[in-house]
Amino acid sequence: MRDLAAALQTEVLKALRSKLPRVTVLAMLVGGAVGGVFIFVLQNPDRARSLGLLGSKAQFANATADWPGYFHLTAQIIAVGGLLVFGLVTTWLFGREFSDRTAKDLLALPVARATIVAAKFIVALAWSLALTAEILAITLALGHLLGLHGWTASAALHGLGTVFATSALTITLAATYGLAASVGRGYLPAVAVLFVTLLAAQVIAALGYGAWFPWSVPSLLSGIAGPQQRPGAPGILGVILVGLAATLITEQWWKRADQTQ
Amino acid sequence: MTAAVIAIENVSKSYGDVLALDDVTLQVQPGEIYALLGLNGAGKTTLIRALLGMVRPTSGHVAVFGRPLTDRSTWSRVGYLVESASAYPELTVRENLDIARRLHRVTDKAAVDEAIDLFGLAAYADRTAKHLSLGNVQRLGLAKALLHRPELVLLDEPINGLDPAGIVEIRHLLVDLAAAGTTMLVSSHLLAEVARIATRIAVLHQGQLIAELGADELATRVRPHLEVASADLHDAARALQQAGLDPHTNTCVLTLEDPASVAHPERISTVLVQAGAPPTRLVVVEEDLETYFLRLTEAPPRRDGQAPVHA
Repeated sequence: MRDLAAALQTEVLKALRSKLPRVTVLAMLVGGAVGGVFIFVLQNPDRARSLGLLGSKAQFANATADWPGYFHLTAQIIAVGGLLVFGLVTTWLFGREFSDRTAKDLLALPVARATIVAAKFIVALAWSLALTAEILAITLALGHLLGLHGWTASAALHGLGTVFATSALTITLAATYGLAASVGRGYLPAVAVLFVTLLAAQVIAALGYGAWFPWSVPSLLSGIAGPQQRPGAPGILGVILVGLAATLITEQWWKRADQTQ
Repeated sequence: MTAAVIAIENVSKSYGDVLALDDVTLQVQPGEIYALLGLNGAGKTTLIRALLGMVRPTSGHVAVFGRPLTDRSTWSRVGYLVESASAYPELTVRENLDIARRLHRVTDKAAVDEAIDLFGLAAYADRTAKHLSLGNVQRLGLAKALLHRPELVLLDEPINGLDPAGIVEIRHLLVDLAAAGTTMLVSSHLLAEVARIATRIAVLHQGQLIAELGADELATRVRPHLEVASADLHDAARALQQAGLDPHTNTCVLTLEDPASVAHPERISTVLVQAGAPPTRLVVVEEDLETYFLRLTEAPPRRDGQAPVHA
C-alpha cells in the first residue's frame, strides 16, 4: 500500500502540474453549458424556431425540457464527449511517459511496474469521476436556474443513476486508450484509436447493432437512440470485459514487453 | 572470491533478424568502474537495458547482486541513467527529484536537497525542467540516479551535454563514489574520459564483447609505433623498404609498427643516414585508447565461439 500511495502521489503531482486538468474542466464546462442551452431552447419554442438548426439538434437528442430530459441529455453528452475527454485523460497519463521519454525511469524501481500502472488507472478513474461530478453540478445548477419541472425523488434517482452508469461505462472503456498509448508508445496511436472507436460507435449504433459493440453501449444506455435501443446485460458485460482486458493487458505489457524507449 | 555485482552469462538479444547482443559474458566486481565502449549500435544500451530488466534476453542469464532480475528488492540498490537524461518538463527540479525519492522508497526528504547540492542544481531547484539547459538536465538525470545512494550505478553516456567543468566535476564524483564502494558500469564514446576513471574496460562491437582488459593492462595491450620525419619522405620510405621494412606514409611522417623498429630506433636512423635521407625526427608514439579501440573494431568480430580477447 505504501508503494501505491507513493505512485499515486507522483501521478497526482504530474497531473496537477500539467495543462490537461484545466483543459478537461473547460471541456466539461462547455459540454454542460451546451446541454443547458439545448434545454433552454426546448423550453422556449419561439427561440427554437428562430435558431432552427439548434432546435432540430435538440429534438434529435430526444431531450425534453424537464428534469428527466435534462439528465438524459447530460448522460448523452458524457457518452460521446466524455469518451473523448476521459479517453484523452487516460491517453495522456500513459502516453506522456513515452513522449517525455520518462517511461524508462519507471521500469527498474523498488515500486513494481504494476503498481505504477494501477496508480495511473486510479488517477484516470478519479479524474473522470471528478469531471462527471462537474457536469452533473452544472446540470443541477442550470436546471434549477431554468426552473425545470419534473423533479421528483424517483426522477432524480433515475436521472442520476443513468448519468453515473453512462459515466462508469465510458470510464471503463477509456482503459483501452491507456493500452493503446502504452503499446503505441505515445499519444498519437491512442488518439487514432480514440477517434476510430468514437466514429465506429456512432456508425454501428446508427446501423442498429450498437448493443453488441462496447463503444456504442454507453450512448445507447444514455438513451441517445431512444428507448427501443437500450443495451441489454450482454452489451454491458461486453463493456466491462473490454475494460478489464485492457487494464490487465496494459499491466502485463508494462511488465513483460521489451522497453526500448 | 567476492560475488560479482553483475553477472551476465551468454546473453544474446535479437530484434527480428537483428542480433543486438551476441553471446555476451561478463562480470563486474564490487567497487569496479567498468567501462563499456562501443560504436553507435554496438549493443551498449541494449546490454544496460537487459541489466535493468527493460529488455528480455533471447537467451542467457543476467543476475544483479547474485539475484535474478525478477527480484524487485534489487532495484533499491541500483541507480541508472539510460541514454539521454529525461525529466517531467512541467515539474521543477525539486519536484522531479522528489518523485524519484518517493519511487525509490527514500523516506528522508533531505535526500532531495542533498542531491541538489551535490550536483550543483541549487540555483535551478525551483525551475521547471523544460527551462533547463541540456547540461543541467543531465545533472538532474544523474541526481535522480544517485539520490537513493545506490550500491550499483549503471550510467549510459553520463557526461553527455556537460561542459568541461561539469565533466571534471562528474569524473571526480564517480571516482569518489567508487572509492566509497559504489560499483559502476559506465558506457561512453568519450574514450579518453573513460580511460581516466575506469578500472576495467570492455569493447562491445556488433553485439559481441571483443575485448576486456584492466585499465592497468591497457599499456601492455596498446601498440607503440615509430614515427619518422625526414626532409625527403619519398627517399626515406624507399630506403626503409630496401632495408626490408614496411613503412606507412602519413601526411608528413612515416610510421613503422614492427617491434624491432620500435625497440631500436637508432638502427632506423643509421639506415636513413646511410641512404642519404637522414631523419629530422624519430619518436616512439604510444597508441591511445581511441586508436586501440578503432584497431579492435576494424577487425572482424570472432564468430568461432571462442572466448573474446581478454588481457
